[in-house]
Amino acid sequence: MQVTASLARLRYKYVPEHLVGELLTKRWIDTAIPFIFLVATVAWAGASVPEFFSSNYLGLVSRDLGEFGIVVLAMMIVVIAGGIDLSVGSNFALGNIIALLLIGVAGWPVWLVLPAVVVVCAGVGAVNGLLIGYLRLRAFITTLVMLIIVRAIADLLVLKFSTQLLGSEEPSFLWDLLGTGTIAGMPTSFAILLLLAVVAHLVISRGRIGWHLLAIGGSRRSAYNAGIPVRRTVCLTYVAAGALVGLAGALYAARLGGAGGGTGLSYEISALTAVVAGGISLGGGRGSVPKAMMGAIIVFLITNTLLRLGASSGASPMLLGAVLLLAVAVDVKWNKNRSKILAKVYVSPAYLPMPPMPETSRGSQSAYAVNDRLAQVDKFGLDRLEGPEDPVLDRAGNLYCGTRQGDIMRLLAPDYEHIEVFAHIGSHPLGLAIDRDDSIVACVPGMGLYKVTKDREVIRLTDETNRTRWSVLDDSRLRLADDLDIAPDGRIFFSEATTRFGIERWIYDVQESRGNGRIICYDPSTKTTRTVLRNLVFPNGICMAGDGESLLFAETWASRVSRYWFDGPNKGQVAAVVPDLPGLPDNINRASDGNFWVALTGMRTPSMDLALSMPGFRRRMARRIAPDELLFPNLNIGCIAKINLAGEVLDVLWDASGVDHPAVTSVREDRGYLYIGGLYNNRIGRIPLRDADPEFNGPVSYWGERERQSVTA
Amino acid sequence: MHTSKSFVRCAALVAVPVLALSACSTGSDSGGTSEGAGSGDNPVTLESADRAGTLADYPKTDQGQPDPRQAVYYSSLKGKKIAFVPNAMKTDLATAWAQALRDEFEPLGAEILTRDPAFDTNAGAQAITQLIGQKPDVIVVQNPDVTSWATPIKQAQDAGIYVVQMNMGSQQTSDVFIGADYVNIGRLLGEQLVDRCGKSTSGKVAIVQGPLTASAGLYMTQGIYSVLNEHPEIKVVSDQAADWDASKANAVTTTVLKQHADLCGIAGYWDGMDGGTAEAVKQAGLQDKVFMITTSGAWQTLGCNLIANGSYDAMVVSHAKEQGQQLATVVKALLQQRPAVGSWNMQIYTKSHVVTKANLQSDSCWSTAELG
Repeated sequence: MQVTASLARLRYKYVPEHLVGELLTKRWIDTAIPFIFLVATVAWAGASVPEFFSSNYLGLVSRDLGEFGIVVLAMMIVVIAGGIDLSVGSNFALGNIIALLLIGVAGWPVWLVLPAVVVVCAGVGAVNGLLIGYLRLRAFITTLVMLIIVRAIADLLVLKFSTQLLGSEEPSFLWDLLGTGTIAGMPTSFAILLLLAVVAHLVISRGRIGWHLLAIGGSRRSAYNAGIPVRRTVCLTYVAAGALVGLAGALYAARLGGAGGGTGLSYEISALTAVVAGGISLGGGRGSVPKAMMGAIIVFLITNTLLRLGASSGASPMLLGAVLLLAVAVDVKWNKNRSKILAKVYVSPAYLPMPPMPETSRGSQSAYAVNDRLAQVDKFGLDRLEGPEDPVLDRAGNLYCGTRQGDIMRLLAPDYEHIEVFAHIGSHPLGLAIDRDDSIVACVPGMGLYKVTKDREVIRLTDETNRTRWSVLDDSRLRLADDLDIAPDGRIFFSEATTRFGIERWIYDVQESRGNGRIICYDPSTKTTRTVLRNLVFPNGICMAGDGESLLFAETWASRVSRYWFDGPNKGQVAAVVPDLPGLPDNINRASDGNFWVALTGMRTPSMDLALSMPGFRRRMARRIAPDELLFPNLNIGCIAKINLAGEVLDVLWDASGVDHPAVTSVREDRGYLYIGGLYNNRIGRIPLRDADPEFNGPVSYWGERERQSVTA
Repeated sequence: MHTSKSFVRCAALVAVPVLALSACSTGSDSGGTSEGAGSGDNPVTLESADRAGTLADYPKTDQGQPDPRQAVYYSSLKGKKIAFVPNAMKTDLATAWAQALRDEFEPLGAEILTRDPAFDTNAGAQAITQLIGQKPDVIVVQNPDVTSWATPIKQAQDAGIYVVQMNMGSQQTSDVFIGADYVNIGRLLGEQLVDRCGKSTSGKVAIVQGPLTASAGLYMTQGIYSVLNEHPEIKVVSDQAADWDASKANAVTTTVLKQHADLCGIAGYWDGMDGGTAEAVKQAGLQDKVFMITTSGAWQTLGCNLIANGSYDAMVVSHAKEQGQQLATVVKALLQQRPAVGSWNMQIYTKSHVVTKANLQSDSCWSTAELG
């Protein structure tokens, strides 16, 4: 049993299972499949061709890759906008023959030939574009017809001028540079491809038109509704494709100078295969230049290596066909199932053995013995407040709290009958605190750390921190800022409960119960945000310990309260204060006698405790059943505990009935009363305290006396 | 104990690099040998072989004389690599040539590398460039046209590889060209047409070409017209391209026969395509009236069989198997003489002759079976 437990502990400590899910959330994971395929292809080619990795060989074959790569680029541009261009092969042949004619027959200089060819082929693209973009003809049929027509034109030109072309080519430096020369050690066509790829990548991933392309490919109608000039953009993709293909054709002409009838034959299939093998969806909307280039290299290597191996003539098209089919199948399956797989594997529970649960039964000698002291509470804002997670009182005794609607509400003292929207934040504010200037500082899930001044000006303090080194998930953005407190020097320490889930899915973080959370420090003097403590199990309440150099923090799923020294001789240390609470601690706030109020938002249960040491069970549960049926701590009961820094439990208030204040998330003491908030409550509760300082007010006691503001301020 | 332990350790430390070194040197030795055999630049002659001691070492016994030339011949071919890049391996010409190379060289320890561009000009160019990386001694190419493979051929020559061009010469000249004389073949075609379609006939003839860009076709056309132009009684009523495609040839011919029921003769450019031409003639029921002539690489299946069954009346034959043997001879000469690459620039035209039912012999053609 002991051994099994140790093994489980080791396994869940060192096997980073949660990374699988995090990897799947990455956008670049789409690129991983073609990349693996590319690596496999390179490995195969390298193993089959002994001289493959020699620079000589790579230099020779990269020249041929140049032209094909440019054609693939052209195809990609059309495909990501949701189209298809079957005429690339014919257009390529047209570019080839026109380049040959202009050089060999018309005798034009090279610098004039190149743009001329590009313009002619872009013209072919423009015909495609006009028909498909503006007249809304089907891309497949239109470009299929263009394939035939343009091929016929190219063939006619070949027939008409074939005798004149024979041996008419006059060598010129520029022409030879294009065909056989090198730029910076690379074959010219490959260097041109590289340049085009970089430019195209920047345009598509960073440029306005690139985003338009992806938007149109994703959903033409939505793009139109968003004001994107759909017709013009679609038309332009064909023009761009035509221009690129023309350039490739001219390079081919410069390299081979042959006007054979088979030029560029079935290039459309090869280019299409490359695009799909690179992981670019034929449906449009998804794709990138690196993907297209990977696909181009894959297809090129396959055909090239088969040729090198002396395979019989049918092998290459057959294998390419198989690759195309496989790639399409993978693309379809991947798109369809990625989110499903992600949903299945993302939740990755950890091993969290719980300490024995303290006795809580009514009438027992335990400090936690159940009572009904929360049964009789005053209720403020009943049914007018939704989710006052952490009420806070200003110097004048006005109550503030966040609500589900994304507001910070103010309840005016003394009767709290008048309720007004103090400020609109946009997301449900959780932990609140009042700073030296009487501004309200709030932790806002999904948004970050915000401040609302007395003049109701909403200021974003921070929404990001330093990214954890080597983390797969980008945890620099704040997802679930939860509670905060402010050090005497103004530094704000706040908890981020989990970096793996948003607040709407906190229920899955219970299932994981891993150290997904952290404590972050925002320094207003330098406006910097740094993570100071990591791997905490749903860190929640934060409260200054009172010595100016340490704070208390609660870890909810681990049912413990610890102390962290951010300054002084113990700087960086963490020590347990109460390691074995009977429930799940939420916010911690100061009591008038120098001790601390801890709100317990739920109670531990034997079943949940057991489940926490059975991660496999929780994983199966999370995968198979609906969120509302998951095993869960008991949230139907409320409890408030008063503790001191030594970890002694001084007082406990229960609402055993669960009617008035289940799931207490926060308590604030003010002038002899205890104000009670709850994330799922529809009111703020208040009970009178015996033996409490009737003059105690949070901001006054913490920041010092200042002239009291009038109640109606 | 301590000393012996450290001694063992020292010995092991020494042994490892020694082993590694010896392994390396073994490897480089063998590599060096094959390298020398692969790209030795000096011609192998009797004198050089004698100097190397090979001749002197022959024992002089009463059991006959050793042949001193043997060693020269065999050593010049052993371990050599000869690459072959045709238009497409599946054609009869490529089959015959490749087989000739295999028959002649493989038993002597040379390696034949074949590449199949399958009529893809670009693939063929790639194949040649790839081959340069493999450093064969000779590359034999069958150009698809006069320009497309010029650059790769030049690159191969620059890399010190002999290039032999078959049937279609590139504008880039190389060591040897071996091929049919297409102008002459064209003349033979023309002469046959003149013979058969003279005064007493309609004088109408049709020409079925391959692709108009194929240089072989251009040369043949030149040959045909150089004859026909001298004979005004012959009228060319149709001169169309069928792109080496039998069904296209069939369609073209069917149409021509409908337009000109009194057609006298048809000259086709290749028996691989003209099966379709002959079929059209047959379907029109004009087999006895229309004189059908084509050109052939003398493959039994496409050539002589169709002469025998009357589909063709005549064909101008350039025997592919003979061409293959000439190719083999030339390659042997190159490998033995080791001239500077490109210095020979030798042209060899193979003979062509007309085969009809009258002079058809059982050995007029070669068959795939006989090639093995």
